[in-house]
Amino acid sequence: MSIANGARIVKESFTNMSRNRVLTITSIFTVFVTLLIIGIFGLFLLNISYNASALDELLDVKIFLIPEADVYTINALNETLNLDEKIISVEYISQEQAYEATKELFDDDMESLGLGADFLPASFVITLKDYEQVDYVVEMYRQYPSIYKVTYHKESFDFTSNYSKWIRNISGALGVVLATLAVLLISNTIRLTVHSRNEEVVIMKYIGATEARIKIPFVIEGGLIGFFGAIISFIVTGFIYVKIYNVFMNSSSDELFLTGLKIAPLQETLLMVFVGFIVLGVILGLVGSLFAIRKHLRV
Amino acid sequence: MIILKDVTKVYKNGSEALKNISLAIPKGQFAFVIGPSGSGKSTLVKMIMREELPTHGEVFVNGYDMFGIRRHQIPAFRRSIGVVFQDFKLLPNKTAYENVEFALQITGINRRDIKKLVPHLLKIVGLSQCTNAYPDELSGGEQQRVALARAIANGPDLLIADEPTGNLDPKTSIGIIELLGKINKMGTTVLVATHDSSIVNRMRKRVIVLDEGRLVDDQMRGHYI
Ligand SMILES: Nc1ncnc2c1ncn2[C@@H]1O[C@H](COP(=O)(O)OP(=O)(O)OP(=O)(O)O)[C@@H](O)[C@H]1O
Ligand SMILES: [Mg+2]
Repeated sequence: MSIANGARIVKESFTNMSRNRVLTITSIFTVFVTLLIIGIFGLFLLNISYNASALDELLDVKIFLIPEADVYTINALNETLNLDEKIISVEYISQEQAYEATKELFDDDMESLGLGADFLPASFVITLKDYEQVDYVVEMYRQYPSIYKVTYHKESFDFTSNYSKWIRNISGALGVVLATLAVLLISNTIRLTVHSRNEEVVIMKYIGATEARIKIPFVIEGGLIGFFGAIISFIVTGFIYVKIYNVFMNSSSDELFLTGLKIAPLQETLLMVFVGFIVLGVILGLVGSLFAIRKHLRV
Repeated sequence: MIILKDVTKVYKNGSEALKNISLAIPKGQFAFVIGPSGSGKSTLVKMIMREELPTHGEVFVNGYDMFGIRRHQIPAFRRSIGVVFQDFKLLPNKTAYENVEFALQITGINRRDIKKLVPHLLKIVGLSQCTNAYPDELSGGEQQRVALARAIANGPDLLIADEPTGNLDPKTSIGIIELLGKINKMGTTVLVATHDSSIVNRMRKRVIVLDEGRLVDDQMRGHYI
């Protein structure tokens, strides 16, 4: 196909789109709604997982040892913790390691304060298999004579055990509902397109146009529709996300901050949404248009 | 140009549209196919443009064997014949000019030639105005003229018309049939399926008569009985 020919076919696609205005707008709207649904759902999931990884650090339990604990006691305790089925990971932090870590935090000022390497106790950092069993585990190890203190971030555990199932269920249900909605919308638009384009495809075949010549303008049209739908849904989704982001950033001193919730960074997220939308939108448009004329192309 | 050998067509629903038809239409001829509604005229046209295949028998058109033709050869075959229908079948999203232009584009003729040819074709069919109008802005007669310009755009050896005047008033019909006569005089073989007696009797050309799928009469300078 020559360049002139290509330009003519692209022009033909644009003409078709403006001549079939109602259908074009319906199709763009379908892509828009579908991507908006996917986008909002995706951003919701993204922020959940973003918070979940931040939360992970808060879900450690620290077991501090009495200063007198000797190496045999420590080894025995290490073994007990490792054998405990409620615990999935165990990490030992010696007095020296704890001291080094704190030194970094305080810019080496420790020694001038007269605090030696034995200032901090040795500890175990453990991760639980099931967050709901935290009270039980904490109570149990508190009984040990060689253990001086067991600490954990109670709010985080409460939040996680109360909401994680809830969030999982909601996002599952929401996903199913939204996907169904999107599929219904798309198939309905395709049915409309097939109906209105059937005649054209038959005529083109009668006058001897090849399959490729019939297909290409439809496919370009589908791609353009997907592209425009993607742009509009990016604008709307981006607008919503910026609003929510600002609410988060401007409320640093009140309740929202205290929940420990964070929001995924603005620029990276918007870029990801933009690229994702364009790719998805164009694919949606291409596949949709091919699907709409597929049946009529068998001579 | 067209050869049918013992052609029988039975549709999937069991209706027998053509029964043992044998006929030949030589190059350059003008022929009518007439008969009452349901006699098989449109089915005959569909056999010739390979929209349907016969259940039994053989069909040759422009040297192509309708059974032997490959799938990828069908577009080229269709471009070697011109077709005209009762409902015009113009592309609704294209202007009169663009409809004719499209038929030329698909054969890969260069742009400069297309620019010269389209006005010329539209002039032949008597449509020099309203070439930028869309089909729904044209009268039936005007639409059929556009369809005719499109059908002859690639200089086909054969032009087939199924009820070309079916949607037109008598005066417009005469204009169209005279145009078909003119196209025939320019060397194109023309086959017209119709039940419009006035156009048949006006032309005094070959008349092939079908009745209930059978060929019942074939006169060289015939008229509508
Ligand atoms: N696609 C089809 N499927 C089943 N039967 C068909 C089909 N097309 C035509 N027929 C039947 O074949 C017979 C001949 O139909 P055809 O359309 O060829 O007649 P015709 O002479 O063109 O009629 P008309 O003058 O009304 O256009 C009719 O009985 C019709 O019902
Ligand atoms: Mg008919």
